[in-house]
Amino acid sequence: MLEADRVIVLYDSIHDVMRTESAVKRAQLWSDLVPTPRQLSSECGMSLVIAAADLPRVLEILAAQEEPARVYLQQGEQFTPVELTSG
Amino acid sequence: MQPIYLDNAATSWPKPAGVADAVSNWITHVGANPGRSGHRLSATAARINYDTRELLARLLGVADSRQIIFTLNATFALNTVISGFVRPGDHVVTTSMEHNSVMRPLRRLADTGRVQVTIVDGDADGRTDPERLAAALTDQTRLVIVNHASNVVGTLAPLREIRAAIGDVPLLVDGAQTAGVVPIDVAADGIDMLACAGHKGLLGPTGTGCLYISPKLTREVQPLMLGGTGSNSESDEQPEALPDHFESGTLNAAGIAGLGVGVKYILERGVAAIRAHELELTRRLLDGLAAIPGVTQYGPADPAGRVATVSINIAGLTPSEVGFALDREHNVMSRVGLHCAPMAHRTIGTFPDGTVRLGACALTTEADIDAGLAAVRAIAQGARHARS
Repeated sequence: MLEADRVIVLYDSIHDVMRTESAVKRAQLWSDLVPTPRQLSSECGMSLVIAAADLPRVLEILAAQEEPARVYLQQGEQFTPVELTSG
Repeated sequence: MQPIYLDNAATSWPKPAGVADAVSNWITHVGANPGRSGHRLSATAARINYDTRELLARLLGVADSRQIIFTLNATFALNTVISGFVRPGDHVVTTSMEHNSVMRPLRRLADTGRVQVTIVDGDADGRTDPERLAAALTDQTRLVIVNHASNVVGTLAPLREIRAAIGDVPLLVDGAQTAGVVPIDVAADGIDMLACAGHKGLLGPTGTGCLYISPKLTREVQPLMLGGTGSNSESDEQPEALPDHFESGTLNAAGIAGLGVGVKYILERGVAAIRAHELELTRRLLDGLAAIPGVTQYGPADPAGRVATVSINIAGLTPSEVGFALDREHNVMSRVGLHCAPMAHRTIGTFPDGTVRLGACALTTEADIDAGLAAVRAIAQGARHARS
């Protein structure tokens, strides 16, 4: 795995961002909401940011969800997609 | 003096503590476009929408809250399905107890000559026979629409019997009078699509409502409005993701904040407890009215067959005269006339004059009912003296 500053989780709908934020909070993990980085999408919406160290636990949360997320490791200006095993 | 408010079938009042504060707090401290603007206030607004959607899903037995779409009211929800699901060549079956929010959009479709509509008559108490609905089905029937409870006489429709009778034909339920006051479980009740008003039994502000669409039919309903959703903004095609697909334009987020508090109140008190409270008030109202000479009641005699909505007339007076006297002489708020449901009034035999409608909500008290009864008693007595 790359050394990442943080992980960005994107969805098509803000509803799914909220749902994942809620699940991440229930798991007592840190998260934040940020404007979706322009490099990833021209959305005017928001994306969820989590700590890179929490990625394995967040991937477990995402695997239990029906709506597919797009997940990127961010290192500075560089974004690397994370492959999801299921979800 | 505090009004005696018995016009709950139109809009419930008072609301639970916290509903007004939530709306006020949203306007004062949140104020932002939910989820679209990328700042903290926008995130807070999005969280409030999400929380309310989750609460509604819990209340209605909906597994995935994305299937709950916020609307302006039940009318918007019903129009979304009627306009967006029924296609040329289709046949629709409904009942004579429907509100104009069903009848008018159906009439427009029927007037095109490309959609057939069959209206199955209820009985004099407003009951719909599931077997008669089933008998009206044809090979072209695309949709059955039933009012879960009449907004005129409160008569409850037997949803599970209707589902059993109509097989797998899609069922749209008008839950304007039942959501929040009668237990609803969309899966167990066989509901494919459910329209709810936020400002009645759900105890939220006006300008709120929701539509549930089952996952199997989601892709078969076209949105009523297209536009900005804050998602897929690079494309001029409507996004497919739920709930955005059906939620173009900025939502009534301040209202949704209040609606969330209303639904939370219902979940904490329990729908069964609210139903029991309303049954008790309905029984008190029906028994009290039965003891007043000159008062005619409509609808089922057994409160178990209805929600807390009661229609009456007083001999010698028009409904509007009674409603005016209730308001100006007795401080009692009612609703008179045809209640936007002319065919329902034809069904129970009160067209064209209509009735005087009285009803309770979760926060109505026995004292409210007793004050309403005292007012009706006084008006009926006055009418008798005027005739003698």
